Amino acid sequence: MNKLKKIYCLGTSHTAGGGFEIDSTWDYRRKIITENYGFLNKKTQKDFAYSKHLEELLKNVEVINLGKNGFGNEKMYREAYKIIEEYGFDNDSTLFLIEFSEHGRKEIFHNEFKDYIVLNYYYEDGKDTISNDIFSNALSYFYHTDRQIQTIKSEESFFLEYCKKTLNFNVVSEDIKRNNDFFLSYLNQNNIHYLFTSTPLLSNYDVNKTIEIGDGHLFDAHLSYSSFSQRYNMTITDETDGIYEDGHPSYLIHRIYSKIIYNKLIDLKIIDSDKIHIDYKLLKEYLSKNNLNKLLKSNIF
Amino acid sequence: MEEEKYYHEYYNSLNEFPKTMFNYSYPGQLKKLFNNNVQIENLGKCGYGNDRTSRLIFDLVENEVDLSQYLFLIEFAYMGREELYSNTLNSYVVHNYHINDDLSYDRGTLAKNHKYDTDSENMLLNELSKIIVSYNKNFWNYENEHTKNVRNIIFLVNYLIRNNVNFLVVEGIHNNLMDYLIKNNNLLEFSPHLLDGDKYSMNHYIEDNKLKISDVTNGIIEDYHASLEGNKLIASKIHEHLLNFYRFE
Repeated sequence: MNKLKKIYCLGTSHTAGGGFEIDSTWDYRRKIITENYGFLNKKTQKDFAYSKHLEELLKNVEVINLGKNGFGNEKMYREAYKIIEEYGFDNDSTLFLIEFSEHGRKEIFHNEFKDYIVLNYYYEDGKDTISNDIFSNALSYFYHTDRQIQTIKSEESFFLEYCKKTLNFNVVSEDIKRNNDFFLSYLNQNNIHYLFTSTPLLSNYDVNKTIEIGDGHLFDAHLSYSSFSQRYNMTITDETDGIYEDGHPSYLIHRIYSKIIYNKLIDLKIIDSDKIHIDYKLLKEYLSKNNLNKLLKSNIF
Repeated sequence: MEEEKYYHEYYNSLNEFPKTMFNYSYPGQLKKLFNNNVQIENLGKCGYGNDRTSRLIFDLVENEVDLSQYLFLIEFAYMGREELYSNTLNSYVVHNYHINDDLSYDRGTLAKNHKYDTDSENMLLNELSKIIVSYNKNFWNYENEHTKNVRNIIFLVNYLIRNNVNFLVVEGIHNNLMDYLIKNNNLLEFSPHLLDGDKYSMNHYIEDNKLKISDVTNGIIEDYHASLEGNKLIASKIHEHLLNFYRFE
């Protein structure tokens, strides 16, 4: 790879900085995030995400965060393809950081909005039926206008019915595997540089593309920072001492993860620099005392 | 009824045995040209398109140990064919639709097996079609579907190349892939005098040679599929190409 100039981060809310919608159209969302994280002086959701911290660490590399709440692999395939096929795309100075998702996300083009919306669905126990209770459709969660909300609400039952009639757990699982494999084939055949921020649902994938979080001693190594944050109680809920309930990775996790990616880029000789020490021992100490919020405010990480 | 009568008359007049759909297709004719020494399976299905093709190829490639003994003959379809899964029929179904001149969605029909669906299946299909047609009337978009169709073909072809799968595209190739596929003999020049992708299209070849069913029945049967004669011609072209580029025992 030549000199790294651009990084695209693709994925779901976990990539977008889910839970940190400080620029939301929802008053409550803005208020509670400002109350808990206002001291960081962030302006947008994506300012909280690992992508922003990574950009600050890399200095002369543009890091573009294309993650979006609720959306999943279909958006990722679509956007990566568009970027790669565009005239002037330079595969030798571009890196993709890819967060694969699994069930529960279906993308649809909405003619009225002239944009893509997403249907988020869940299976009831036994995985045969789509749940009536947990279903939602959105153009952009937490950023809708009143008018958009009206349209979205009016279409919800129709989409639920559509999903119930046509989505089947086993069939969708096979679709995800196949589409992931096709997508990765496309990237490989076109010599695209990429790493996984969350691994694909596939029986085989290139383990060299994974990024480990956790030292393997004090913390088990995870291949997804989201699962790491949940396993070690480092979600937004934990970071705000339960004041703001949100299961997405905490701000601290985003900061730590950006450093882990930075180190991985050094390991892969994509950048030439000194590695940043991740003090897992100190992290463990704070966690054992339930002092995540104190750690956040200490600015150690 | 009238049309059915003409079909019967046409098929009765043909001296080709056995009188099966497989034997009247180009894969069936190709099998004959190989003197039955090459196992040929026709996985084509009326109405269905690229979604099914991708699914079947993936299943076969993932489950096959020795891919070097296989070759896929691929007819990529154009828009108007969407595969869905029906939870009421517990089966894949196909949604075939027309596109209006202004590139909007026109109307669609659903089938599990065109012309073979039972009354009870048709009842369930009719029920399902209400929501599918309504969905597409509201949310179908030409630009989006076209881009997705092209992207899916490109992704599938990259998957085949990555896995060293032998394949020959006989219809529906996209411009972005043409140079690579020509260089690697994954395309067959059916009609050298035609322009661009039309050269590599078996359907254009048949049209050019006036060998559609409607052509050979002087328009009595309005069916634009290849006639038996047309399928024989396609098979002989493919046979010739395969002998040039592959080794057969």
